[in-house]
Amino acid sequence: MAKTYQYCVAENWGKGFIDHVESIKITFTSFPGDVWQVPAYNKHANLWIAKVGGTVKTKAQAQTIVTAQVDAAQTAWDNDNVSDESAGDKVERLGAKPLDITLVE
Amino acid sequence: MSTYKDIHGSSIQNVEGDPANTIRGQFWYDSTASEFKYQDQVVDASGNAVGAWSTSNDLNTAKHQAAGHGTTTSALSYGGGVDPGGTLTAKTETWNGSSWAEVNDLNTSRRYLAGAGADSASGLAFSGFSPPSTRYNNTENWNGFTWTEVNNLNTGRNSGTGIGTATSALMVGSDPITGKTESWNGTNWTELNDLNTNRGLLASSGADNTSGLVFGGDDPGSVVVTETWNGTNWTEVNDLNTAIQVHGGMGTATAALSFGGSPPTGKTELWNGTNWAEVNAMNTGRAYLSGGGTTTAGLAFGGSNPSKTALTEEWSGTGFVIKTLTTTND
Repeated sequence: MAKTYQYCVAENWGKGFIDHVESIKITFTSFPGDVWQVPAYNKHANLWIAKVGGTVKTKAQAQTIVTAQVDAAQTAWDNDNVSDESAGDKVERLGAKPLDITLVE
Repeated sequence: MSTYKDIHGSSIQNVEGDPANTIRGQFWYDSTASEFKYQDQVVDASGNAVGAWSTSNDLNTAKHQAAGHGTTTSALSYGGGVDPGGTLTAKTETWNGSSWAEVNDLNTSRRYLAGAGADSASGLAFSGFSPPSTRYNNTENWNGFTWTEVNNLNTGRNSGTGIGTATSALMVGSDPITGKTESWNGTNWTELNDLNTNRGLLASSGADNTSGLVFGGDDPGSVVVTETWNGTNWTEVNDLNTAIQVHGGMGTATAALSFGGSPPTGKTELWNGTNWAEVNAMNTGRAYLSGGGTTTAGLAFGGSNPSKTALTEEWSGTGFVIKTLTTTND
């Protein structure tokens, strides 16, 4: 089955990393670990990856990076406790516990 | 026969490639490609301008559950929670159109506060939360340099939303969930009519204390409800397409943008005064973020995804594309 998406790792440096025109032409989704999902077989996406010096990853490689980041965030969330704090208060303080993320092909 | 210069008062620009910072309708000759080109606006099937988010420069401090207001050229971020563990902060940063700079702190550190203001030269911070159970009625005024305590809200609370300016503002909703609405006249807060649907963690847009829009929130559970304010009462209008909470809002009561929210998403919806339509999403989805501006030029900053973030993105509602002019020999 043909891929819908491709993945790369690239650090967002701020202004110019994704410009307005690129954002119109390409659907970007970011994940923990500086992982970016963009359309596969797409000229504009390929040019953007080259522009930002992205390191292309397979879906499995990208998933490993994202899962490691999410696991670390979930562990940090679980271990961040204040005495006598209710479950609701913890969510209010930290935000909801990070959810698992499953990348798609 | 009239020439291009006769009509427009200038000759066609000769450029190797495309000129920088083109504007709509600009016309030039690309000597590299040997083509005449012009900039046109991107529109959808309904003829509406297509907008999109672009990345911009980070806050100095990653934070969430903060407040903020302003425009793409002049904005303010204040308060919130930072690492480790959502520690309260009073930090304030100003945006000058290209970068954030740390300035004088709020007098009271807090999370889940609300704010209002036109730009980085003026603003109002109000309400907020401090664990384990302090819900603030504190109001502080920003004069472009320092925060000064002014008259308090009638009811201490947090997780509501702020609309308007430093001299004409609204504080709407809260957690624990209420529909309370208070109006600021530049000196005092006055309690007015409640929302139809009580909720907290909602977002808003609006010009002042006579005109506003609130959307989404938690009642509990994310909702799609949208209500508009006429200075006296809230009226329910058409819903968001997707239920959302801890998201951002910007614009006016008749032209607004809803962006981000929980679970971390970049989902963006555009309000045209009657309906919401889903438009291009943020590049980095996140919850508990802040923002300011209009549906044609806006700024979103901070939040969590899932870690607290300093990321800033700019919304441009006037997408453009460079087109090539084709000619025939007929």
